[in-house]
Amino acid sequence: MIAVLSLLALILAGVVGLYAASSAVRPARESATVLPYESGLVPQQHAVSRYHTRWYAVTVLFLAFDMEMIFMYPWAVVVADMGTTAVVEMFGFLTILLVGVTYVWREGALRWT
Amino acid sequence: MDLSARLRGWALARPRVLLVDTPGATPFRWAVEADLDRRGWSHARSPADTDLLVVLGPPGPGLAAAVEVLWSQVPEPRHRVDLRRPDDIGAALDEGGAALIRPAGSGPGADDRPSPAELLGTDGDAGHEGMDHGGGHEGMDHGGGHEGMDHGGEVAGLPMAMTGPDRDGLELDVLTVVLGPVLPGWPTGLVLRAELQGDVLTSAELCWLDAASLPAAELDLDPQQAALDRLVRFLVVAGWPTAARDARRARDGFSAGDPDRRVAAQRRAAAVARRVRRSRALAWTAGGIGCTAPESGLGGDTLDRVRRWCEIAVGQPVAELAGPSLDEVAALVQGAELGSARLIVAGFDLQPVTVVPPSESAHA
Amino acid sequence: MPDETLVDVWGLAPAVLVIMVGGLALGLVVAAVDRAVVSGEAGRAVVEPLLAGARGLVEQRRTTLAPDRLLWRIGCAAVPTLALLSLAVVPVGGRTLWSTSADLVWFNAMEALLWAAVWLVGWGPNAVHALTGGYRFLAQGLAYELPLMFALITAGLAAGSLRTTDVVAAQEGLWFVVTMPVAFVVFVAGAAAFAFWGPFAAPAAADIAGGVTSELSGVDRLLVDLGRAVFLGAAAAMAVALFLGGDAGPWLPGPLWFLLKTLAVVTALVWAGRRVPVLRPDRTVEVGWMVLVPLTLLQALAVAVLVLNGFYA
Repeated sequence: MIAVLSLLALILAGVVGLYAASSAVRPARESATVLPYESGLVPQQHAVSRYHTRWYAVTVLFLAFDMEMIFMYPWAVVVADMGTTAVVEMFGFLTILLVGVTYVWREGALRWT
Repeated sequence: MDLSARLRGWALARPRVLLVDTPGATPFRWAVEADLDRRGWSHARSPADTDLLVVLGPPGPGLAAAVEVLWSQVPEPRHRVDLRRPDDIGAALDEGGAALIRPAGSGPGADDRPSPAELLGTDGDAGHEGMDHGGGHEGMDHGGGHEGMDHGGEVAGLPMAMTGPDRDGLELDVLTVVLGPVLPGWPTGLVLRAELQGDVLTSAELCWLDAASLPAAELDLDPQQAALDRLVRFLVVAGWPTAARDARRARDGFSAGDPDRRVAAQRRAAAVARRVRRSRALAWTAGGIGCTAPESGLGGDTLDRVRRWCEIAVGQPVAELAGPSLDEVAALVQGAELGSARLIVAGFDLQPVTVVPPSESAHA
Repeated sequence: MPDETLVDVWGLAPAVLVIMVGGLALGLVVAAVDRAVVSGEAGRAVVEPLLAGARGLVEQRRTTLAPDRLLWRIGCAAVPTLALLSLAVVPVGGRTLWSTSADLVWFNAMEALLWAAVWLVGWGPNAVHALTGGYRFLAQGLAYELPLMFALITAGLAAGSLRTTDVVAAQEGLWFVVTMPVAFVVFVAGAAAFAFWGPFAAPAAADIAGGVTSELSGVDRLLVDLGRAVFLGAAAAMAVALFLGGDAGPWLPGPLWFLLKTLAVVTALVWAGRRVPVLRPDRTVEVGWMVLVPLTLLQALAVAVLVLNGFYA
């Protein structure tokens, strides 16, 4: 643990060091305040609107699968000890999930444009 | 200080260039791009990425205003080169590169950048107030009155997006955006005014900037070179830098007087055309978009049009298609995802001369 | 050997320094190879990334109109931080900086946190191209993440351990790539996807003017570009450890083998990745779910059956 914390500290020191080095050598100290790039014209609205993520159905599907994945990590370690039942149960469960994925796919949720 | 100057010279030895070509200056642009390739200077994707802003020829009033906005967005060290004639490209670029490295004569305080509020044309104070808040949305209340957190209030001189009905039957934010006049792989001067819901264009309207003063058609272009140029543009948009590089080199090779280089260019064109035609990944990612009806004479979908360019690029006698009207293109990109809309536009040969009655650009 | 870490052998400070410097060097190698392939001239390829770094230092920084400055800067700094942290569990000379019973989960977690970092880089500047790029990264993540995780688990499954050094040790007889080629390819492709590079560069593609990077200049751009390169290098090194036998090899010393294999993976990845255009996320998601997820699951099933038969014992 101490090792990875030291690494984190060194990385953060490196990031701060880069900012410091840059402000020491760059001619223009202050950052420029500019309009966001909108291909040469001035923007008409703020871009940070409520963005319509059309793939929201995929995110829900992903969440279901992702939870499953958390179980799979410890499962991978004990397969050799537990034998066939562990494999059968896990892949039986995964098959059920895959049926769900196929249903979602047939409903067209994996294509959003 | 010496170290910092040396670092600067080293860092900017190969500056990144944002090229703004005025409509009608196509061979001029080719010459400049060939020169940049020889120097190994790469093309910037946005003003933030830019060291050197190069403007070819005298821009019309609309484009000149756009160049001013772009110039205000380029970080220091920056330099702007206005190229008027094709005969002094090398010297002008040399001078531009040298000016970048030269220690800034104007001190750090003398940044002559116009503030965003000035560019937006809003009251200086109002814009300034919003900008000083790092956190973002505090500026909301400056409009006073009823806006508050309501959408429709102004923040830092700009309104928030409004809502509108979506095709999924929801009431969602509609963001008004403009693509063009200056974008990577985009015909300079073309402006696409669109409304975005998420990454889908729910409405689109195309026009040319400075539509009143567009130049006459460029009829004397070599068809092979012109096809390769269109390929370059398309491949840049498709995110295929190696193929775009080869197509550009082939195009520039055809300009050479030396017959050996022309033979090499022909070989290179054949190689890149074969690569593009055969690419399954390209067919998969760019296929099935921009489909036009057979009777329209616009040549199937985007992929068909690009493959046709490949044939022209290697010198096969393929008839050029008629250029579509801007309305036809706008109808095609409507409802498309932003990435495919870019591919659809890049898949057409849009010349500023396929004009556009003035009424169409009246919206501007 | 299994529980001995780099810290135990070299001491804390040298071990941490080696990982940090090694990670940066790996990023430089990735950037140089990429540069050589894209520009077609190998001569200056090594210098170009260094020049780009120097340019990042001397260039002015930018803020846009009404940005979410704090989150924006956090995102920029997080990209290289996560990339370097993921190297803590990559074995160098047969040992990792940090050894836990869940090394693979750590690597996975660093890459999953990148979702937040990249999205913040896109969200921060209040610009339409950057915002679109950020959301593209998330959409793409939904496509690559599960196959990538299945690939990681498959390697852990065969070794019966989630510790990278155990996974390397389990490949003494036979490299895992032989029995799990699908997992290897998916892992390497997933690496390109989370570094949003090559065919998976849609979040930073030219069609949206550089996407998440479109408003970055100076140090901020340098940090993000650095993070992407280091992540790609770290993933290549991880692929060597998980599938290509780590530092196993005849004649030459182990660390040299590890380096050579990592270089080979990087070169092959860059060469192959630059031969194709950017793939649009709205099309890759469908393939990710309907082709890659079942395929990697079949791969995991095959390996599980082999495990039951005592193939890897």
